[in-house]
Amino acid sequence: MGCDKDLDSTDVIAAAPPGDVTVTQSKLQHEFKHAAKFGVAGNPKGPTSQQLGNFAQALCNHLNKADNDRIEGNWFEGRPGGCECTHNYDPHTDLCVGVNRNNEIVYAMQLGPAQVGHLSSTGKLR
Amino acid sequence: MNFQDIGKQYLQLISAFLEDGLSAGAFVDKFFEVRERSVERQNAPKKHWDQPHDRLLIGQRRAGMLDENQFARQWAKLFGWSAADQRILAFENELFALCDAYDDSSSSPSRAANEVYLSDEELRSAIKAALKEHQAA
Repeated sequence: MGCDKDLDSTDVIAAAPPGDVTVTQSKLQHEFKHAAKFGVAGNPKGPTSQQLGNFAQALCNHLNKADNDRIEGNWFEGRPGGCECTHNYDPHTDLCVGVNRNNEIVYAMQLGPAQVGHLSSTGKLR
Repeated sequence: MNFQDIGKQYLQLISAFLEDGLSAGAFVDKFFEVRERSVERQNAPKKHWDQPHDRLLIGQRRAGMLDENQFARQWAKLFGWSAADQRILAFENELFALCDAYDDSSSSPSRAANEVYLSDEELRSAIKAALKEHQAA
């Protein structure tokens, strides 16, 4: 499934292969502080519904990039809410989106070289 | 600005947060500002490369030509990081993950149980633990 559906700020928004990847509204709001890195404008402390939809669209577009590195690993290993995930890393932009085994987005951010090195070495961001 | 200076800024910020009343939200905002400068500094060597050495090294790792430790050593060498720099950057990575997880509405019942969010107090506790680990390294 592509990103051509009309995305908005309902509870479950994005869809991208493999399978339908979802993101909760609370996760979108939480990760919106990184939205500018994905080319989405808005106030991180109070994005509008339209801006959240734009962000969901950007995440969907990111997940659909064919030349992303897909690295199997973990997110917040050992903590409540931590999980196994696939890190979808775009080496051209250093943008990375983590998707857990339930096909839910667990983070979205731009990595620095130290994080890229750690991720490539261990499969973990933390 | 070198990584030692960046490390000092992180320690000053942590001190302000844990001891001098800086709010969790302000701490997180200021952390991300310093971290932006750190990433610019980390990326600086790339400007002088004639080819994407980082991509080539990652390719070697993915092809199984380098184990975890070999890759980590060569990655640090590629970017010109000393052992002390690497300790600061590992600390920065930890702080980044914690600050990213901070959410001042983390106690909201609308939060999904399977998502990682840290409240003010949880962030404070996690930062203390990260600082202790960093100082012991």
